[in-house]
Amino acid sequence: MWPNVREINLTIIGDRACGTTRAYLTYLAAAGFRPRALWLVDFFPAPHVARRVRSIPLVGLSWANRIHRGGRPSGETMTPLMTRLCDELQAAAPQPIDFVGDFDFAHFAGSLRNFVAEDFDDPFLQNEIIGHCDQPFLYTNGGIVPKSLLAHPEVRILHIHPGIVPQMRGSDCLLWSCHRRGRLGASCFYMASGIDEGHLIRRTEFAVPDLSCLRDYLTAEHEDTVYRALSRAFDPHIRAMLFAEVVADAATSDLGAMPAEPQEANDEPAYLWMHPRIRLKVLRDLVAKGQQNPNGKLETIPA
Amino acid sequence: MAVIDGIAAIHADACEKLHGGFATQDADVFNVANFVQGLVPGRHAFRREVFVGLDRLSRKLEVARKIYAVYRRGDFKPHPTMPPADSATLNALLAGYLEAYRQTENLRYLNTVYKTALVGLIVPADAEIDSRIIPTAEELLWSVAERA
Repeated sequence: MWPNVREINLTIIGDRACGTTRAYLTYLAAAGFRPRALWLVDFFPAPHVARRVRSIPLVGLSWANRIHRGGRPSGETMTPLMTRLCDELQAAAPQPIDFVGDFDFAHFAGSLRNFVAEDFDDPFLQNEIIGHCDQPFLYTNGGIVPKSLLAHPEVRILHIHPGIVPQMRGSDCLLWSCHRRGRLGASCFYMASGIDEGHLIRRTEFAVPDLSCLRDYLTAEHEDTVYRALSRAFDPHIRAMLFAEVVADAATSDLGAMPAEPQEANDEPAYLWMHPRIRLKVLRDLVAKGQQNPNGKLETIPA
Repeated sequence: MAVIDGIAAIHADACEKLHGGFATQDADVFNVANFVQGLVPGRHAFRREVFVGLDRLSRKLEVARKIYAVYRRGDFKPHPTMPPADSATLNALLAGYLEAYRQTENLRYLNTVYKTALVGLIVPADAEIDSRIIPTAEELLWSVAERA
């Protein structure tokens, strides 16, 4: 599909359940890149016995992970409406992606590893990261990355956040950005211990595209489905578009050493998760704003 | 009734029920009951330090879901000898968030109102939220004209 791809020194820690992994891989491939490694992780709680054997010297972590692998992640419930909205949202995107069906992850990466972890506090995952920190990582999902891991002098983790930092930090920033700035945004930075802090590599804003496929479902009854469809099948495009730009324009082949600046001072607190009643209002505003977009496509706004 | 009058009524009724009795004049502590009495709707635009106080307390309400009567100023941790905030303090505070939204149109403040009133708090678990707060929040959320 994309014959002339160049391998980049990057390991994507991809949450299998998260659409963002598919989006990063697709946009990188379209731009002519593939990551050296993809770690496809199923994040779900470990059984109690696995946690207990972790403390056994030398072999505890690998035994615990082997037991953990015997479990099954719960996965997101895909109703017919959710599936349809995820599909219809692709009309606005430069690279339509199947966020619901099977996805050939191996096709997009130099190497593929499958494993399970509870989250970034899982000592097995932390050990793997520290053991492979000769190249940078790209975060996709999996909860808070502990300060101890971010403080490791050789670990570099890239993150794309769906909002312009430092103003739009925190949760639900796709929607908070629409409310506060009337446009969408994304920022690429090296992760640090504060909420969406860390040295900034690039940020971009996007005009709200035509999302009229959602219009008939902006009701209290369907608001949650609309919100989940946007999170799964629209938000990843914004992140991946920016990341593909960052990689294409990187002045160095070492993605762990790209020029990055501290974020400017900002005393606004981080945004917190949005209550469904507020979400409904903001989702209606988002769709209304997209209808004013003459092009209708998801495109960056020139700086 | 204009929405601003509704917010003022919630705030005034809550403030009438406030009681003192805490070591409130200590410069090292942030007394929530004292703070909420300054959140008078409609009189004037809130000062910057009022918004800073609201922002700090919104994290207590939305993240910890616990609100106490008094916090230490240094680390904004609950004062160890003080009880949870009472319902009157909480209602006056929520009226303050309604007013903050009316002044700024920043939904961050209404978000705190909805989450506190509808998701609920762990401490105090038995808070009695004024029944006018959510209807007023709905009016603010959906009616732009009322805010003029």
